[in-house]
Amino acid sequence: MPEGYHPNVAAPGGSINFLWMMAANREREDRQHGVVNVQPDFAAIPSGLDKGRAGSMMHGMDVRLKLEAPSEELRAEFLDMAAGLRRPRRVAVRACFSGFRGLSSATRLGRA
Amino acid sequence: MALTAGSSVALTQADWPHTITVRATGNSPDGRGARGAGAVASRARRARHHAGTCDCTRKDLESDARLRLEGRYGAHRQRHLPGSQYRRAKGRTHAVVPGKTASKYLHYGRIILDAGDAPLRFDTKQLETGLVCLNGSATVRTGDQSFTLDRYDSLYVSRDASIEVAPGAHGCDLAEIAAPVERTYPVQFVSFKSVQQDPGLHLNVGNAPNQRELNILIGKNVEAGRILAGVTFSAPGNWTSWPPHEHAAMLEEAYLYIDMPAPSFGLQLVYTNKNDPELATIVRQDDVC
Repeated sequence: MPEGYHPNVAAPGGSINFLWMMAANREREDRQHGVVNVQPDFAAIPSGLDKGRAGSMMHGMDVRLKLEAPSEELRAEFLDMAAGLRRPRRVAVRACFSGFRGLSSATRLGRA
Repeated sequence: MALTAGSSVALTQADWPHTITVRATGNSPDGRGARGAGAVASRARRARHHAGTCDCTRKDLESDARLRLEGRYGAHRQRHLPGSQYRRAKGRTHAVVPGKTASKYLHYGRIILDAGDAPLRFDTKQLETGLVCLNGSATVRTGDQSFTLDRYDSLYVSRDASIEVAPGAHGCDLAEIAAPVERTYPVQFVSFKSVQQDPGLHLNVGNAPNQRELNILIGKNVEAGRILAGVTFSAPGNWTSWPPHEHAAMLEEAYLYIDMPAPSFGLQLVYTNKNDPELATIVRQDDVC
């Protein structure tokens, strides 16, 4: 699967189980688990992935998802939203912001 | 080809065995159908998806399309899902290889040995290598270190190393994941038990109908250059990799379907344009996608 969204589903009564294996394009720099582009159509649907992200953050994963927005404009939106200065106005931003709030919570927990 | 709203026509792609139905949606001002340009782009993506993967002849492709209607695998599918070729091949086999398949860096192979078989030796050369035990057990030696791998245990071995795999009492079935790296990283063993006890590596993700258990075997817990690996187990009848996501700018990926005894099967989609997927196929145990 060199590119593309890649969901899968199990037939009823059975599970779909798989070994996933990935190779980073750039050694070390791109070796980031959980840094994904969610299909915009589904970005606002609660999926439970937030729980996974919160857990993964304990190992530093997903941090780039929140801190490295696709553009400086979105990054500014993240920061404004985190500060309560702006409400999410785009689906993708809302989805990322959900994770961003999780990061903030995790950070607070970590400091506590 | 000009289409009117509501009409449809079946096109057979020369470089793709699937029959694609293009429907005019009526929202294109020239009446050619809204997906005309999209179909061209999708053909290009499919070509990239198959770049270097497939040297099938047109006869192979046509035969494969016909066999699919009969519920059987053709030569093209066996090549496209190469795991099916290596399903029970003993020894060390390679299914995903840059230059031969669509990956640029990712290598995947399988090491299957029966109990009592002679140890298998190979050098990692310029590839960092991860071994994941899928079934049975194995004793893996590298340098002056020795590790016993049971089910879903994993071992990271640095480049420029030698590996010796000796099967356990019930044989062994290992996945070999590798990628080229410039730097050398240390040998690291990860037990599945330790993964399951770590809330940062063992995740229960989603709710029905997209509930699954995610285990990160070679992730942030392992110092490495390129490779990442883990195992995901869905709840029965559930979706995984949901919501749909992609990460092509940073990572290429392959799935090996495991622990899905017949008659279990799943459906795998790969798409950039949801209306025109590059791949929509049934997957079974030991397929690779």
